Amino acid sequence: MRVVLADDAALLREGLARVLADAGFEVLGQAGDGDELVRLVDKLAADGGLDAVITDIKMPPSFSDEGIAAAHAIRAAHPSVGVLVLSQYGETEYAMRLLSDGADGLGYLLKDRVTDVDAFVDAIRRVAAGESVVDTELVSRLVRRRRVRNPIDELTERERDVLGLMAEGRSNRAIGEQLYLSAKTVEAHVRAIFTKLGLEQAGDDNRRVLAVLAYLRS
Amino acid sequence: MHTVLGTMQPHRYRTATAALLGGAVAAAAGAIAVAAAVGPHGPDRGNFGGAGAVTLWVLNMSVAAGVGAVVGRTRPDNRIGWLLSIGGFVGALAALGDQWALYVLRVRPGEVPGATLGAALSTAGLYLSWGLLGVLTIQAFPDGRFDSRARRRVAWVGGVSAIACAMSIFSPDLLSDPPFKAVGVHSAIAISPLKPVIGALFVGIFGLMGSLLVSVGMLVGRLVRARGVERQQLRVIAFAAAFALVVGIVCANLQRPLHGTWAETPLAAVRVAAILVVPVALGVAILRYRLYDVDRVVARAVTYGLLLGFVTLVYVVVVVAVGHAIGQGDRPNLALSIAATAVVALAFQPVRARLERLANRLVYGRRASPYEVVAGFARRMADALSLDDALPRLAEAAATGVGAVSGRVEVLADHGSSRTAIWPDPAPAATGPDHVVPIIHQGEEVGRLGVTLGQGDVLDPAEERLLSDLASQAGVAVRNAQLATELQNRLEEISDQALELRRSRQRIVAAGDEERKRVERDLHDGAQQRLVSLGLVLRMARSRAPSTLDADLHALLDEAAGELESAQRELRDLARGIYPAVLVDGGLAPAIESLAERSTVPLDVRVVERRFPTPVETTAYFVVSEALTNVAKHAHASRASVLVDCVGDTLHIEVADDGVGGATGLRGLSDRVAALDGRLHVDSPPGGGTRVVADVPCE
Repeated sequence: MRVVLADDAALLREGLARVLADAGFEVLGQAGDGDELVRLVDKLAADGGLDAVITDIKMPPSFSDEGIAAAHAIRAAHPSVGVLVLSQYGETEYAMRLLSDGADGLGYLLKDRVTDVDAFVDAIRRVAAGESVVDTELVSRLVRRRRVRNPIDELTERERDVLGLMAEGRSNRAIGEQLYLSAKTVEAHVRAIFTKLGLEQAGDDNRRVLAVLAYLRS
Repeated sequence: MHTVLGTMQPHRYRTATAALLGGAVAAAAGAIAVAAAVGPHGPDRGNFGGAGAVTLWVLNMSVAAGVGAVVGRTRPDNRIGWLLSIGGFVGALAALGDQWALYVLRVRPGEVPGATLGAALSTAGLYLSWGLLGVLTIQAFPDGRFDSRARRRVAWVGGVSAIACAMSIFSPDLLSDPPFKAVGVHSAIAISPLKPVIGALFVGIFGLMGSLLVSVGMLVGRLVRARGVERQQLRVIAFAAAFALVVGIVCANLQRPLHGTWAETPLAAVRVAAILVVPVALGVAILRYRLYDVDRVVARAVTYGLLLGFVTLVYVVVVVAVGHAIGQGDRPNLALSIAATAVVALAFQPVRARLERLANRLVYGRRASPYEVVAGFARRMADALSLDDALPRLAEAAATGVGAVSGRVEVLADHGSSRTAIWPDPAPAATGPDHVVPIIHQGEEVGRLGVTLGQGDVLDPAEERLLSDLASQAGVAVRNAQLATELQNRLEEISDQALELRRSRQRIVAAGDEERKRVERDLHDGAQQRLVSLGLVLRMARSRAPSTLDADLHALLDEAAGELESAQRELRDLARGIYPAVLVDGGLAPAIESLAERSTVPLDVRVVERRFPTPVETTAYFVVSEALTNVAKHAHASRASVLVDCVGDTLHIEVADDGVGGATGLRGLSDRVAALDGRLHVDSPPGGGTRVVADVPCE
């Protein structure tokens, strides 16, 4: 799998490149800021030569949300390239901003997550495949959030697990694999969740992510 | 300057005028005595009329001579004394001669000599005294000098005309013509061949009359143009003459109705007194005797004269007119008299006050009497709503009080500056002299009172006194104005300082926040990044140590990884606690949402989705953050709520919980909120929950 890295901290970039290389990825290039990244991707992805991009959020010049802007630009120009955004903050706000216009092929991961190579690799593959990814820690925090009136309390524990995995952007099949459930059981759980929470059934998995996240945030 | 009759030693002047006075009085007495003798013998009149008129005339002449003597005694440099003394003497002598001639011709014809002499004295004296007193005195008034060519010319014309008329004593018809009309008696001094000349010379009567009228006219003109002392002198004469004229006319009209009644004699006395006022006024004017009090006397006189008229009118109307109307006839009615009295008693005070003001206006013109000015000033000061009002009123009082063109009040403030109030505003261009009086309060000069006079005007002593009196009255008021100005300056200073303090506070808070942001960024770019790198290194180490080979090493590395993860989490929380990046990037709503996600207490959040200026957002966030920390740590609450809403131009923040209350230690918050001119209020009764409310202005 061919990837591109972007981060303003060169040392970290090198570290990531090494880890990815170890894991069998081909790092085609590195960028230090948003504009450079977009240019690089435009060049490399021209003829389907790129699978995924891994980028930091805060980069020069303004260190605010260059990564998110670049992600949207890349997705718009090259829909086959997935973008995984790394952030040290793990704030729901950034995740929502990233996914606001559509969750396909976009992922938001806590930067610390890269030390868990399996999870890191899995996330890259999923965004390259066009799925959505939301960091576990972020989702579990949202699910566990204390509310005054909490319909989530109405869910069974199993249903809560399913809810969390949905918010992470996983497909029903993936959920079933993780929880050792059959696809049909997962579907049943999903239906029940949506009914209990009063949500409309979203079309596909990606739109589902947004709906659930939005619900969990409110 | 041309003197009337050369120079003479004061001693001789005094003696001569006194002698002339003696002569005049003697002649006057003689004239009255002879007139009394002539009286019963028919209604014939000489040049001076009947006994009554003669008495009037000689009294006038005596007073004139008396004034002349007084002038001669006290003002040796003023030669008008001569004119008065000689004129008076000649006039009295003429009356004596006149009556003697009548006595000889009517009472004892042929028995007593002196008819011609008497007639000659009478005729010549008549014209000469008119010329002397009527023309020359007027033109020489008040200093005994003919101060202009016009005056000299008129004086010459008058004098020459009088002499020309006096030549008629040489006419053969001296005794046969009116007023003596003696038949068959020949004048002893007749010069017949000169008759046509004498006749021609009598044209001088026109010259005399004319110069007399012109003199009076010139006097009026001088009165209008005069300023200062001369003006006062002329005004005295003018008032006296007007008074005499009015009284004379009134008495003349009352003479017939009151003829034969008890009122006839008092009426005559009043008439005499009124006429004598003129020469007395002349003396007062020439000698400048209490010249400035005269105005007050005149004003009083006018007031009470009008008041008398008012009372009389009421009586006449009520008693006579109403009496007539209800058929009482001419009989006095007690009831009506009482009614009239009652009306007068009720109306007296207000009418008196009005008449007094009217009289003052007539006498003083635009200038109120000195007392009026001061009283008026005190009244204005009491009315003045503010010092901005009071100072112009003071300037107005000063200017109108002395008849100046404009007035001003300067208030000296500290550092040598001063405030000036002007009346009128804007003031007309200065044409005349300036007069300034210091305003003293408790021995210190606090201001200045100044007036600018019209061209050629001067301040007389009374006006200067008035100015000083006003200035001394104004001391307190001006000091107040001074204090008010200084207070204003102090307040502005304090206000500036307060503003500077507020800004400084805001700068300190902002600096603190900047520091926080820097620390957070340093953490993010520094320590946190390093930990991630460290994690990667650790990961690679782990991958090179397969679990099968060295279980302990693997376990150690796992432990290390776990510790690292904890450290990363802690550092993340720390950095967010110092300054949340999401507050900078997203504003209050996502930042508080982030707090809510991590809250251990169920939280109901309502935050307005809007950006605000950075200091406002920072303060609001930290208020909520610290309040929530308090909730989590101390409140033992089951639920809490956060409300952040924008109401008008104020950001309203409310964090409430249902815990145990008793919250303290939010002092840092109140300082931060106050730095933004906001308010913080903590309501935390023990056992009653806690409510933290903050309101911060946000444009």
